[in-house]
Amino acid sequence: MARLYSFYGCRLQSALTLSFVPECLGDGAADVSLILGEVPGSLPDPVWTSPLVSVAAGGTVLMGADSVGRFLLEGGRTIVVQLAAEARAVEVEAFLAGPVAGVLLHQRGVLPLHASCVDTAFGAVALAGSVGRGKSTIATALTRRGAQLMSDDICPVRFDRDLGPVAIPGSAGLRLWPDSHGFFQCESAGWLPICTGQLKRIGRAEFHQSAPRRLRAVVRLVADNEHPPSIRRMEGLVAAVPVGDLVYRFGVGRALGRTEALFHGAVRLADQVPVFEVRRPNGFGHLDNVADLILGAVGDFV
Amino acid sequence: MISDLEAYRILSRNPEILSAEVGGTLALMSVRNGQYYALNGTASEIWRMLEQPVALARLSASVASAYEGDSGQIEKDLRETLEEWLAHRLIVATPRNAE
Repeated sequence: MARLYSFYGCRLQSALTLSFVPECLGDGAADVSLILGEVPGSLPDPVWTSPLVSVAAGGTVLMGADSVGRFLLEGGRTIVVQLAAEARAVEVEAFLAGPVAGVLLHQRGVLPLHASCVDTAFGAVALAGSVGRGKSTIATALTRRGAQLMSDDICPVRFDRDLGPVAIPGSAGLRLWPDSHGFFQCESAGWLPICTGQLKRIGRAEFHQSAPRRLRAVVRLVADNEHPPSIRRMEGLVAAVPVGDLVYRFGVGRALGRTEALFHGAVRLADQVPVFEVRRPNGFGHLDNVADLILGAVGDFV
Repeated sequence: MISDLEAYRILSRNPEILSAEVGGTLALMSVRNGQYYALNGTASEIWRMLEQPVALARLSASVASAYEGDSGQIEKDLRETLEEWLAHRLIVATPRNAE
């Protein structure tokens, strides 16, 4: 029987049982339906393709991975899923709450930051950066200081008339590489490979905030192995660009005709919320310092 | 580029350029090549004057009336700005007979 979940700001009625996404309380119509069915292996005349994603001219998106199956997204309202024969539930959910969620948000006209997000004592802080910049690791470090994870890797933002930019919670699933997993001494039980053959593991965040929060800062993470960690305020245009570094799967968004909306969204965000650049060496030696820098800078602006 | 300005008289924004305000700066993005540009206060004002296609002579007059100073220098600065914008395809110039 299909269940109703609170999925990145949408009410998702899902034929698949999800374990990292909170169920919706009460009744109400679904915004998005996930059903099981046959999904074609390709789209006719796609306008944009990547190894995982294919976008048709009308905005239909086909996504898939061999170990998971195929997902067809239409109009930001329907997801048809054809599971692979050996698909593992955790992999399917990781794919659904990751790449599929990002594309769904694009179809629904939401601004999806490529960021992990935590709810701190000052409000929500988005930790933005491309793959390998330490979004999940720093989010975990901040949760060890009392913050609550709101989402990992994708942070949907909506603009509220009264509050300004608001971060929308996503999945409680946290994705960590083995070294981060070991550093934080996460218990092995419940942490499973995100994908067959992948070292990255997914597990439930210990503390998860499931309500929207006012976004107080965006932190752009930059690797710098030459210097100790530092933080600086970014102002003007540089705070908002490159838009492709801030927005999750910007290429898909462009293929869906969202270039202008995403540019304006990124600029509006940078105009309304302080944006910081944190430069930090790879590894774990400076994590406490980085957490102090972020919390100190955000606290000064609230 | 000077010859472009001389030969063509109607100037307009390139529709492939997106613009938005951020922190008091006007931010531009080229949809075609993903390049970004930041315009300062005076340049932002000229950009706003280009919201509708405008003849070079009328634009020059508008800028000259908006800013105090030597009119010859203002026109020279304006031309330099417009030439730069033409080079970066931020604006397009159309022939006079398209008026």
